[in-house]
Amino acid sequence: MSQQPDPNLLVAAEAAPSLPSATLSLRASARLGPVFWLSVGWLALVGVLAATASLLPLRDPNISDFSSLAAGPSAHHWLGTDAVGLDLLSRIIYGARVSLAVGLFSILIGLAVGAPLGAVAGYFRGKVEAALMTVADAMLSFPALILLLFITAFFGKTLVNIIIAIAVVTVPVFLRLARANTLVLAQREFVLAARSTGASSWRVLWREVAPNILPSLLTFGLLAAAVAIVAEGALSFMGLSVPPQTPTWGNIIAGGRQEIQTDPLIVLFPSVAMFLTVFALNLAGERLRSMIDARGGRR
Amino acid sequence: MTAQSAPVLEMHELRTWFATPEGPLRAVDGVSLGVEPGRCLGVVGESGSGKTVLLRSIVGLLPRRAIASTGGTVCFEGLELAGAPPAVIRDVRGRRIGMVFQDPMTSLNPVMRVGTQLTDGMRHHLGVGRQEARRRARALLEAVGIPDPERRLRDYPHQLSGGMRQRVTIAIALACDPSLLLADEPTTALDVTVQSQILRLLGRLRRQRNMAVILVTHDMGVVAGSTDDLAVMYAGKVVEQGPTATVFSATRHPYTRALLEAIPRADARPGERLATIPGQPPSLVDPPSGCRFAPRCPRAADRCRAEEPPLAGADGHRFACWFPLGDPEPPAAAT
Amino acid sequence: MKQVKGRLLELAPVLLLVSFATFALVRVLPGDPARAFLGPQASQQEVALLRHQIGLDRPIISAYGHWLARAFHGDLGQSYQTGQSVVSALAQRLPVSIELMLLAQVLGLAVAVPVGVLTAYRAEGLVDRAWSGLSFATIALPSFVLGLLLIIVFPVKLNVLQISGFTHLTHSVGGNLESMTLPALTLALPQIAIYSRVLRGDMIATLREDHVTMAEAKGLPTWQILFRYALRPSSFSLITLAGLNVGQLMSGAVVVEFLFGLPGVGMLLVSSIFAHDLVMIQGVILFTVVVYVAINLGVDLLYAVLDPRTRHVAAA
Ligand SMILES: Nc1ncnc2c1ncn2[C@@H]1O[C@H](COP(=O)(O)OP(=O)(O)OP(=O)(O)O)[C@@H](O)[C@H]1O
Ligand SMILES: [Mg+2]
Repeated sequence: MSQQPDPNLLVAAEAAPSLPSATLSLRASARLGPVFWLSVGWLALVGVLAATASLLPLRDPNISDFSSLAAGPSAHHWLGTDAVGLDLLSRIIYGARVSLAVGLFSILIGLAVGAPLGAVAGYFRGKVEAALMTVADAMLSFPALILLLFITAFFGKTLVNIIIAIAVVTVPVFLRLARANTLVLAQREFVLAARSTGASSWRVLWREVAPNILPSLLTFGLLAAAVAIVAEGALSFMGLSVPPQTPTWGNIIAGGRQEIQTDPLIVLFPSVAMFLTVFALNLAGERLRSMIDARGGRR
Repeated sequence: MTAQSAPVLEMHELRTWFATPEGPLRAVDGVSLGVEPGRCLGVVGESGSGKTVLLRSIVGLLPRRAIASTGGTVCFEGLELAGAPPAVIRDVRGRRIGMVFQDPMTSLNPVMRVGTQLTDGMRHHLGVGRQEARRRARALLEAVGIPDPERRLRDYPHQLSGGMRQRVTIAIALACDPSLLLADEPTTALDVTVQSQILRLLGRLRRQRNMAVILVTHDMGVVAGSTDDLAVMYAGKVVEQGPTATVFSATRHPYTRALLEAIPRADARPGERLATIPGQPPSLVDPPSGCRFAPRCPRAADRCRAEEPPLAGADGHRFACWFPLGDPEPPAAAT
Repeated sequence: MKQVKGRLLELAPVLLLVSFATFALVRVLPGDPARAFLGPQASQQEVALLRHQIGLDRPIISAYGHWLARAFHGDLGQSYQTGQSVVSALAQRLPVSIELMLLAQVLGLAVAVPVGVLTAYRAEGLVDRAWSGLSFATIALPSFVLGLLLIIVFPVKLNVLQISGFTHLTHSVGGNLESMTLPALTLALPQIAIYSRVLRGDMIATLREDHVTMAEAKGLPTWQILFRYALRPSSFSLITLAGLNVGQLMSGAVVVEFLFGLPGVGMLLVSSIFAHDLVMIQGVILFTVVVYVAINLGVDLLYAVLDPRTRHVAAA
C-alpha cells in the first residue's frame, strides 16, 4: 500500500476490505438513518433535474438575457444571471448532467474493468496476481490529476474522453480493493465448500465471490464517484474539460471568478450544488460502509 | 495476633459499579480491607470477581465514562482518595503508590527507551535533574536484579525478555519509593521459574523498604508462599479474610475451600487457571439475593438464598457464611 | 541498509514502467503530434525538426533509451516554446511548490495533531462530534471551491490578504507570505480534516493500551501522557498520509497554483499543456513521478526511525 493516487481515496480504500455476510436486506435499509435518506434524496433530485433538463421550463443555458447582466436572484432568474446574462439556474441544472455522467459512467467502467481483474488476482494468486499488481502499482504511482490533464489535453476535450480518463485512473483502485476482498472471501467456508464440490473456478468466482464482493465495491464506488466529480470539476475549472459552451459546475465557477468581488453569488450557487452532491455521496457511502463493516467483516 | 502498626491503606465499603446497557454492573460491591506497612495482602478470586477493578478503584484508574456509581472510603496515609480531585490522586499515583500490571509485554511503551520511562516519574514527582534521575535509575535496575543497567537504560522494551521487562516495570513502580505497591497478577504472564524469581524479588523489596503490598493473583500457590494476609473475593465481595496461615489452616468459607482444592498439583500444568469449581460465577448486574455463592455452594440452605450473610468473625479472621466449615452442617442441607 | 536496498530494487521496475509510459504518452497521441502541435501552416522542415527532437523519427525503444540516458545526465531537453531547458524551468518553479507544500504541511499538522489528540481523549464528546461533522463537510469541498470561498471571506469581505499576484521570497518576505497564505490554507484545511480524523482513530486505540494505563499509574500529567506516551505510537497512518501528500504537492498543487496564479511546478505543467509543449510536459511528468515514488520510499523508511521494533527486526 505504498502508492495511492489520492488521500481521500486512500482513506476510503484502507478501511474498505470488509465483507458483508449477505446483500443488503430491506430490513437493514430502515436503520440507515435520516442523514442517509436525505443524501439519497438530494442525489435523486439532482439526477431527475439533470435527466429532464430539456423538458423543464428552463431558459436556454446558452442564450444571454442582455437586460439582466450579473443580476442577483429575481422572479425571472431564480438564481440570477452571470456576467453575460446567462441564467444560472438553467446552467447549474445542465451542468449537473456533466458531473453526474462523469461520476456514474467513469466509476461503472472503472468497476467493470478493475473488479473482475482484482477478483481473478485474488482468487488464482500466483503469476497472474503478481503481474496485475505490478501494473496496478505502476498506474497508482502516476499522479492521477496529471494523467487526467494529459489525456484530456491531447485526446480532445470531450465528455467521453474525460469519462474514459477518470475510469482509467480508478481501475487500479478497484482492482486492489476487489483483490483484497477476494483474498478474505476465498478462505470462507461457503467458498471452500463450493470449491470442494468440484465447481469450476469461474463458476465459483461468478456465483460465490462476485455477489459477495459487489456490495463493498459499490459502496466504495459512491466515494469514488465523489472524487471523480471533483476531478472533472477541477479540469473544467482550469478550462481543460468539455468546451465552455457546455455548462459544467466547474466552468460556471470559473466564469464567476472575475465577478467575485462584486457578485460572489455567481460562484457560490454552483459551488453549493457541487458541495452538496459530493457531500451526499460521501455521507451515503460512509453510512453504507459502516453498516457493511458492522455486519459481515470482522471475525 | 500481635497488634499491627497503623494501616497504610484502609478501604471501607468500597463500591464501583459500571454502567452497562443491562443496568449497573456491581464489579466491586462493598469491600473493606486494610494493609499495614511491610506486609503483603493477597487478593484471590476467580476471573471476573473484581480484583482488578478493586485495585484500580483505589487509585482512580478506571475509565470515568464507564462508571455508573462509586461509594465508600479509601484512606491512604491519612488522605481520603475516594472522590478526591484528579490532581490529588495524580500526585499520589506513582509517587506514594506504585503499580505493577499483569503483562510486561504490553505495559511498557514500545517506542520509548527504558531509561526515559523509568526516570519520567521521578523527574515529575521529585523534581530531580537528569543526571540524578539516571543515577537513581541505575541503582533501581540493580536493585531489581538487572545486570548492566547502563546499557539497559538505553534499550527499547522489545530488546528485553519478559522477565526483565517485569523487573523494569517493578523498578518503575518503585522509582519514587512508594509506601504502597499494587501488583495485579505480576507473574501470570511469565513462565514458572521467572515467576518465583519475581515473587522473591517483590518479597525482598517489600521487607527492605518496609513497603505495603497488595498482590492480586489467581494462584493459591502464590498466595501461600508470598502473602501475610489474604482476602478471598467472590462476585465483587470479600467472602473470607484473615492472616494467610489461618485462612489456609482453618478455612471457614466453602468458596475458599473450593479454591484451595483447585490448587494445581505437581503434575498439573503450572499457573493453571482456577476452573475446577463447578458452575458459573453469578451475573454482577442482577446478583442472586442472599449469598452470592449459594447457587454453587454444596452446603447452601434456604437461609443462604434468602439472606445475605455479613462478613464477621474474631481475631482478624472474618468470613461471610451462615454455615461456615467447622460448624455443623446446615439443618436441611440443600439438594 | 538491507531494507533500503530491497525497497530500491522493488522500485526499479515500477520506475522503468512509469518512465516508459511517460515517454510513450506522446506516441499514442492520434495523428502526428509534431504536426498537431505546430499547426497546418508549419513547413515540412519545422515538423521534421520537432519530430527529431522528440525522437519520433526513431523506433520507440531506441528513442526511449536515448531519452533515458540523457535524463540520467540531467538533460530533459528544451522547451519548444521558449527554448528554456526543462531542468532550469523546473529549478525555477520548484522553490515555489516546495514552499507551498511546506507551509501547507506545517499548518496542517500544527492544527491536526492537537485536535486529533484532543478529540481522541474526549472521544464521542461534544467537541469530537462537532469536529467530525465539520471535517466531513470540509473533505467534500473541492479545492477550487474552498479557495474561492476563502477569497470571498478574506480579500473580498474582510479586506485582508489581497490577491495581487505572486511575490517572490527574495523580493519581500512579508509580501511572499501574504501571497502564500490563502493557497497554503486552501491546501491545509482538507488536510487538517483528514489528518485529525486519522490520528484520532489510531490514538483511541493507543489510549486503550496497557502502557498508557501504566503511564497514568505513574501519575504523569495528562498532557505528557497524551503527547509523549500516546502520540508517537499512534502516528504511523498520519505519517503515511502526510508523506503521500508531500509527494503529491512536490509535483505542484496544480489546481491551487492555477487558482492563485502561483508560478510553481503545477502551473508549469498546466501552461505547457495549454501550449502543447511536448518536451516540457514529458520532462515535468517524469520529474513528478520520480519524486512521488522517491518520497513514498522515504516514508517507508521513516517507519524504521519512528518504530524501534522494525529497526531491529531489519537489523537482525
Ligand atoms: N470498563 C468496564 N466497563 C464495564 N464493566 C467492566 C469494566 N471493567 C471491568 N468490568 C467488569 O467488572 C467485573 C470485574 O472485572 P475485573 O477485571 O476486576 O475481574 P478480575 O477479578 O480482575 O478478573 P481477572 O482475574 O480475569 O483479571 C467483570 O465482570 C468485568 O466484566
Ligand atoms: Mg484482573
